[in-house]
Amino acid sequence: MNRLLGKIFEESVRSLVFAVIVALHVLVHYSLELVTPDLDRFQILKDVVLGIVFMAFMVVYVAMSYEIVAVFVPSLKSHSKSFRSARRPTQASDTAGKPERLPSPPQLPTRAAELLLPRKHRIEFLGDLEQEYERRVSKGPRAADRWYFSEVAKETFPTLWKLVLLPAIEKVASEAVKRLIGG
Amino acid sequence: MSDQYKLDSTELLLLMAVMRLGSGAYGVPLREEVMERSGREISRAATYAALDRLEERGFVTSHLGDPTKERGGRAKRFYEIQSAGMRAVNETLGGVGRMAEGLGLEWVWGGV
Repeated sequence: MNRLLGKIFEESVRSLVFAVIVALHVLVHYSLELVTPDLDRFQILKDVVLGIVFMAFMVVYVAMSYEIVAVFVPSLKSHSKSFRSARRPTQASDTAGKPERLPSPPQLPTRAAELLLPRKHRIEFLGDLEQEYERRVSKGPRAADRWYFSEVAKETFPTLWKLVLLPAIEKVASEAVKRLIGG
Repeated sequence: MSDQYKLDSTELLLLMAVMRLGSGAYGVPLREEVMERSGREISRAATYAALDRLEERGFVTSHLGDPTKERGGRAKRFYEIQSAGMRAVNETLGGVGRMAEGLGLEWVWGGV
């Protein structure tokens, strides 16, 4: 029953976040409509801004709906099924008679890193991160989780930029130039 | 100094860290050694990229250790300096030392 309630709570939070994102998106769209009602050339700018805003919202949504919420709002941690840190024993009684479990970092950034890091040193790289995470977790699990997220973001951003963001920006820009010349 | 033994500053610091750490030279302590002693931030990606270059040039060799629990079952890659690496460090530091000669700098290392 508790698990079911937890799942319902988790899904409700996700739906709420998504609803907020859609509402913000609509708000930005109509604000831009109001600012530039009749000028066609501003349509391109609006499209670019909307595209960037929407991408940012989606990134926030995906991240929030999985684990970032759980990192920053501790009460959600117990409801987040995908949050591996929840396996961490919190009290001495939790470990009584059970084999010791090592703390493990959040799954989402680990998966992202597995996807985005160069294949050559992926194993060593993730091993290094996990080793440092384990050292930090004894000082505070939440701080360690935040550190892990930020480290993965820092290390994977160059790849993300090269493979995803830069081509996307280039595509939008070339589309905008085409429309400018065509229009 | 021949180009064959030229090192950039990251490569130089990493090679010296490999020398300092001996048999325990792998990713985490190598970065820490460089950051603690030189005060220079170095990303993991830059560390591994530099170590790759050093290995390609024959200055270090590497081997994978056994998987460990503390690293989520992932293995460490250990690095070992080779004679060409020692020579590269000597030549690079020698060049820096010669540049520093006569400048009246406070910090002077042995031999300069």
